[in-house]
Amino acid sequence: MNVVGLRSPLPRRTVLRGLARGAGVAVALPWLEAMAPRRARAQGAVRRFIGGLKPMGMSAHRAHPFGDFTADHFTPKATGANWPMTTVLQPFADLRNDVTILSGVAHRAIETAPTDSICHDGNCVFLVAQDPVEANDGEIFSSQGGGRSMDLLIADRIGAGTRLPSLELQVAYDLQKRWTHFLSWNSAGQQREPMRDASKVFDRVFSAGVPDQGAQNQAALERLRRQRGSVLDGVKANIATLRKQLGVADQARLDRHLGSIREVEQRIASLTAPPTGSGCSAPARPSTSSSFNVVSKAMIDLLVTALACDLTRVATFVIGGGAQDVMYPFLGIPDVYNGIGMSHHSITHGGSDVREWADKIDAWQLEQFAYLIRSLKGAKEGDRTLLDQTVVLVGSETSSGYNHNFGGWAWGGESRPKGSPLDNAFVLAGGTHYFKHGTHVRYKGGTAHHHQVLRACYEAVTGIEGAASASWIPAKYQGPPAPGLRGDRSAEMI
Amino acid sequence: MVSRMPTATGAPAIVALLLGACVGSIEGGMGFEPGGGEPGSGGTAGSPPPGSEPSPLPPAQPLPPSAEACAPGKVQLGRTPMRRLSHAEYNHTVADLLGDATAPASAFPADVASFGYDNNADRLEVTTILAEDYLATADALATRAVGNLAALLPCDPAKTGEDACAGQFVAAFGKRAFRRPLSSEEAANLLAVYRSSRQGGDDFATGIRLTITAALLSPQFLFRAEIGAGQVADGAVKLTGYEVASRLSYLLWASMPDDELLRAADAGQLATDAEVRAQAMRMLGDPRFAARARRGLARFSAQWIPASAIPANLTKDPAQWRDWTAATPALLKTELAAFIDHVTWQDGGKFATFLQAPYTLLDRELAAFYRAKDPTIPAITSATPVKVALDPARYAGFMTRAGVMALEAGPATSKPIRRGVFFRDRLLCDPVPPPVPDPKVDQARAELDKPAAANETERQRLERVITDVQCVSCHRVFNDLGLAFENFDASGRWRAQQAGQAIVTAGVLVGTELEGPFAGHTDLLGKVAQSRQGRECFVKQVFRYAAGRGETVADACTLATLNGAGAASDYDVRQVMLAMVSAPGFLYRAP
Repeated sequence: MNVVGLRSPLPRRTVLRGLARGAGVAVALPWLEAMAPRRARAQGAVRRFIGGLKPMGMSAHRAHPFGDFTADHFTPKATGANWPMTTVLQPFADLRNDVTILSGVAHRAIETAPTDSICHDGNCVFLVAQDPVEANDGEIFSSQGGGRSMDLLIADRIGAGTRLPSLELQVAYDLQKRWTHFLSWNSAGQQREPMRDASKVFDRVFSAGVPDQGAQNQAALERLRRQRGSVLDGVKANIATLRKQLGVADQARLDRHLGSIREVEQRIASLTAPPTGSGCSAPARPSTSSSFNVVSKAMIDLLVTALACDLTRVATFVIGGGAQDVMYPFLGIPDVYNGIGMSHHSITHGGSDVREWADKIDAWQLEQFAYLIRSLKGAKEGDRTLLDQTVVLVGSETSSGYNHNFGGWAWGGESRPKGSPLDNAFVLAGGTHYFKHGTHVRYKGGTAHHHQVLRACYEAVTGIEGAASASWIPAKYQGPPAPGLRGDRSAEMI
Repeated sequence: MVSRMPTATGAPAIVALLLGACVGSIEGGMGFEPGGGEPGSGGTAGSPPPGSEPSPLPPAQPLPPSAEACAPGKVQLGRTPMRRLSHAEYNHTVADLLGDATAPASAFPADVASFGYDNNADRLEVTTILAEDYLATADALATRAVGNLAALLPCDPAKTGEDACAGQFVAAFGKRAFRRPLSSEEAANLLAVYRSSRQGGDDFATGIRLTITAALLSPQFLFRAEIGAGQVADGAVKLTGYEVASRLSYLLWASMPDDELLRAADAGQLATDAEVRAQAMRMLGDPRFAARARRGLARFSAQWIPASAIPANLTKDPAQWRDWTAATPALLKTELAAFIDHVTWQDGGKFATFLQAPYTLLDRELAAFYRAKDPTIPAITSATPVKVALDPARYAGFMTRAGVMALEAGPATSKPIRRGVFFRDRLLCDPVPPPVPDPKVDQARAELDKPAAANETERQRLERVITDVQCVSCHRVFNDLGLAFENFDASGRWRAQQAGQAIVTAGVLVGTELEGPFAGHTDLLGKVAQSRQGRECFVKQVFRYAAGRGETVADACTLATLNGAGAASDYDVRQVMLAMVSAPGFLYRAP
């Protein structure tokens, strides 16, 4: 791929289409590269984090019941550097040395839960260290993240000063509908809403985000910033006025409103940085689409550019979501087969007759992350690549889509007795100052659990090591950073 | 509670195979008497022909005497959290505030439903993404509004001076936007936006535009906060007249108060039960406000009857139903909307009618859609839905409309379990918990997800697959409720046979006060429509929508009032909704 011509200097008057629905307003973008604190970037000091969700299991039938354990088409059947290729890992064939395949990762919170987490709730413990909380709202999939997710904790440390401290993206076919299953949580029970419309992502990240304004030049942009500033000042004053009259619960509600307004404010304020030098160029504004393959590529291109331009340093990226009825006609999968709708979800619950389609979807979804990693690798930053500076952790909300659990049956055929270690899998890439890639690391018998993988990522991105890197993890789940990821392969692993 | 899977294209419904007890309400402990007496005869006398003006609302029945514990002053008040406008309320409000009918919130990330309703206070947050949408939308709304500045302003800036006129505008517009007079601090906040704009070199219209934008982003507009006018003796907080006006308007119209409500609040005439009830009667009963009342009440009805929930991309197996097209889901929603409107406003609005009406409203296309499977449906030439009598042995109310039956089905099979779980949850308020994860469940689900066999009915399939004693202990409470509707295929239409066999729809009601056999779906619907459990469930549904949250023990008096009004009016949805206003706590909030 050649995502966005990152190596070519920014055309000084890159003209972008404006935001308004079909208005085609020309917006000049000379300020774009100015977002980047370039000094830091030149020193290679800027690190980033991307959390990725590949829904319904890394291989949907990974732990198929009824004794069929040959259906794990993700996990390589040997560990170490020369891991044998598998069906759905094919997209990483050219990236073998850039990624680590992780398997056998346990999850303590799920292990100790009274029952297996029901139906795809793994999304709320993927990046959240605390146990999930339940919302009593009469709806299914009611588990909620139990605290602030790691991506946002990282953003709290490294995101200040960028236009968007964090960027949450979701590929979805319905741009309005609230999809369950997202990775980012502001706080316990407060899911962070992802963006689903690639054109709106573009507007928010790369343009002033103002319909019908026609900010033709820097002066217009300055005016816009000033006007927006006045408006938001008024809003904040009204929030303060109302807040004094409210009870505690409603104050908390209002504070979340204020938090959202402040984020908008920060984004708008960042539009004023004076233009200097060159750095990166913006991709074209994608059109609004709900076609999965179109949206996915557009979002990844936008994300890589946003990272390259240092407009954001932290992102989560979700392809669809758990239990979503996404159809994949562009992979040649029929809408209905044998009278059953062939959504990804129903295929994950299907039998061996639809396994080929499950593999196709799994490989396609993993290919999206391969494309992301390849794009980061293709972008230079100083004498390193953007991938070197970015930790990418890709996993799933379930160990097996078939079984609906964040865990599942262990590799090798033995079924998992209650309370025994779970078997989650990941693809880890980037952050090469910290990680040494190129191997398949498998933790046998729960020798490493989920929180340790997260802790390693947290250390790699924030540079915080020692006890402080576990300060955000509940004591009962603390453990050293997952072993085996820094060229330190130990006997604990198989 | 198990709600429907968020399925558009036919993921397998959750197969509720559950270990343990299934019978009994999760809510529990709230079995009060329905306020008074047997269902009365307080309905309307006869219905006008379809298409005519809505019938006037019958006068409110005198309320049954409240139980001593529910007497004013002794009322336990439920929680009243600050509520963000739902997207529907936002659309209605900007239409009424600015005359802007563009329904901009329809493009926002959807509100999260709770108990089936999209207005739950605890789920309506302002996320960052929504704040961005609010900002862009407020900007667009304000820009359109100042396009006709003269109509917007209460003054002529050329005469009064621009700054003075801006001050008058802030007071006048702010009062409507915030649904109450602004405090001096709030007025100053908004005026500061105008001043800052002018100081930056903007013209007058721009200053006004930015002021509107700021108002539309303020929590005083986006939320309904109830501060109150001070505590009364028992600690409850009496609401201000303006807060009562908003309670009324969002309850009955799903929008902001009109000028008359604000005038009544100005005059202190929303302080007593009688005053408030008179306003409520005007809002629902006066034909001049019929459009708002219809729009408002439909917010409840179209979510209780799952019409809003029908996704635009609901698909069905093309091999079985070639006439199911991309346009069909919208068509079926149209039918339900017409049915809801007709029952509510021209046929007495009764719970039993929603469940048992032997008619529907069809246009040419809808009639052709139904006729393809049932020749007893007449051909219709009208391009707009008209009332059509149906065979009462086959059809009864909304449950037998294709929109509901197709929504509660898979793409190719009728999914009786799903239908049964839905029925028990929505019509009996006895939700079924999801199954415990177990390979047995997966195995059964796989078996039930297979296409229908040529020689096996759905009933026979359930009997074959669900044999485990633990599974049966739970499934027995809802399987029959779904199997009762086996005469409706996955496209929601009539079928006399399945797998070459006659369809058996008789079953047994278990774990309800209706314990006992029923003869088929029309008999089942009739029994529920006349039962206390069915009626009280309907009342609970109204309450969940009206209060924007699930019921708690503290809501016992309010629910008793609603049940009383229901009993006195044959459970007319309008009277039950109106009873929220008569409930002892309507003028108060909990401290």
